[in-house]
Amino acid sequence: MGFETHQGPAHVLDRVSLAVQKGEILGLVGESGCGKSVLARSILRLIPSPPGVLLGGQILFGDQDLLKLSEKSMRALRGQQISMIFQEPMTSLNPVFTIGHQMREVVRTHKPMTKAQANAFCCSMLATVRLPDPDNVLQRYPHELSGGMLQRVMIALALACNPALLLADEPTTALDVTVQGQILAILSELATAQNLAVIFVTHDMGVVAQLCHRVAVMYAGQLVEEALVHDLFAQPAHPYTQGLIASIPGQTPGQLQTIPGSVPSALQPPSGCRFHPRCPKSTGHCALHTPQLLTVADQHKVACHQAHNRASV
Amino acid sequence: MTAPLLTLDKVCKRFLVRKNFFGSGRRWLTAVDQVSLVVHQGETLGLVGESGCGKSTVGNLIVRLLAPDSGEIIFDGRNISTLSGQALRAARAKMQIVFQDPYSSLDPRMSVGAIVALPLRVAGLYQGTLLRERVISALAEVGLGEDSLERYPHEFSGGQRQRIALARALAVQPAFVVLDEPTSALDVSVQAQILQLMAELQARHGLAYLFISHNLNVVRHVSQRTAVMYLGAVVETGSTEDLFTSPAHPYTQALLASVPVADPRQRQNLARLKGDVPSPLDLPPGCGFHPRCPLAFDLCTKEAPQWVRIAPGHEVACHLHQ
Repeated sequence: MGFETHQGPAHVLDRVSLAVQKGEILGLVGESGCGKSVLARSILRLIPSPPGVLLGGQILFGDQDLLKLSEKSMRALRGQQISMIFQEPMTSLNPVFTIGHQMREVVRTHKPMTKAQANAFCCSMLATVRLPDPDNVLQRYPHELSGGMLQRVMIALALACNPALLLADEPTTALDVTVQGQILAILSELATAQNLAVIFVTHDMGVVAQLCHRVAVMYAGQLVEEALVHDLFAQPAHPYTQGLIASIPGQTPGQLQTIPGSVPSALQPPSGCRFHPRCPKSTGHCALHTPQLLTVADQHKVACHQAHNRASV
Repeated sequence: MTAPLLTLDKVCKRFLVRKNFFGSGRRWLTAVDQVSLVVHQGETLGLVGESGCGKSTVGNLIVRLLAPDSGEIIFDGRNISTLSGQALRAARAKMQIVFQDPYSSLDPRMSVGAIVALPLRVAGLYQGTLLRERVISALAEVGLGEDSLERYPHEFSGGQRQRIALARALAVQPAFVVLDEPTSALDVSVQAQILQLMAELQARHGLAYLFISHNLNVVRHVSQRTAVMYLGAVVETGSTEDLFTSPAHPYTQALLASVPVADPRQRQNLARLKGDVPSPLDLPPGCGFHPRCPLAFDLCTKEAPQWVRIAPGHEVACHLHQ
């Protein structure tokens, strides 16, 4: 996936390959601007074109290629089989309609129902996300609810049609930590109960450790490491992942590890390995050759020359 | 122990909220309720709490961007709670603030040089070449070169902007800086760089910080002492070590237990608290935390708890410890 910008083309996603299984929560982590949100949105084809340009690749959902579907069949798929929740629950809902109005509209778009049936259905959906007093919530306007309540409404909406895949783009970043805890607990419970595949986009390694089964780490538009969550935290293979884990405050007392520099621009990514200018272990080789994402251990892939050398010895 | 640099004594701040355009249906919102804190020279006091608990209002009251309704703010031996005009400006030369969002706290139409020079001009400390030299050295301290003088905020990344905001705060060589969520808008690797920088600057200049944050991990890392706020009131204070290892208030306990630990081997029950923070327009009677408190009993709904010292320097406002 690339974007046409007035400063020339920007390669925002570069040959990213990922798979997520039913019932699995895949964490997608990386810093701002690494392309993780673009990836989630590309799956639903929500990237406007122009400026977005698809340069190649395929997105398989089951065995159909989403990139080859017509806009009409894509519309039927959105919400029905793949749905998404966003970071800002406040801006995801229309402020001039009641929660009930908006929920009924979504439900009735996908399922033929009378208004009363839809109302009852919405009530039961709100109950599954443990919102107290769902009847009352349906009559309220978005501004009357707190962020945590709105995000629960969004989750209820996203799961209304029993989708197979849920894309969650930083759904708890705007929330307080005690409320974040509640939301994560609900998500994890529903994912198990409904055998739902979840792609959970976040920059918070703590959330990843608590929630996800498998983790993919992105840097500057590329996938740099992919592993089961236990392996990733126990033996991070890519220096970027190592830096990311070490820069979480409160882990070890004393000095906080830092990654020098900042994320490079997508307009002019560094040559070779994109992390090499910030990497403490880079060599001349890294600046010239792009490392491939190779398997170094069971279900553990990494794109780093050093890690490959270590693994092959 | 020497006299504290900053003392807050039962500081209160209420805001008037109008229900409609015409000013009828006035209600008072209690943002800060009887808050008492001390900050000593050279130390970092962490102030934690969830959004809307009044922690930023406390920061704004200290640097007197807001005036308290009651209570006293003593800074460097002087009561600054009622100062205004020239006297307030003079007091502010010793205390500065850094805000959360480096995208809105720097004027996009001012060059970086002008931004950093402004507090020095206001304080009337330097002029001409001396002013320029002071600005350059302030920028150098935060790791920015002379070439940034003529550039504008939009040319810098979030982390660099926060460095500019720090340079602006430190230019007048204050003794005390309020850091209001200084790293919340930054990525974790950049956050680590800024935290490191703030620690270096503190050591070099003997600065005292009030570090306001909702991120408990960050507060644990940077502060020697920590105060926890809930619904406008401080509920627990203590050394960071005591407070994080043996939290006494049920709210502090729940807050700490809700922080996701970056270790998949320790999966936690993250949903420790039910419900949301009540509206500060409509404070619950008794202890503000009782509607969400898993351990609340009769007394909690009736009487506000008194402060109890449970260990040296560790105090809590909770009926369970009375």
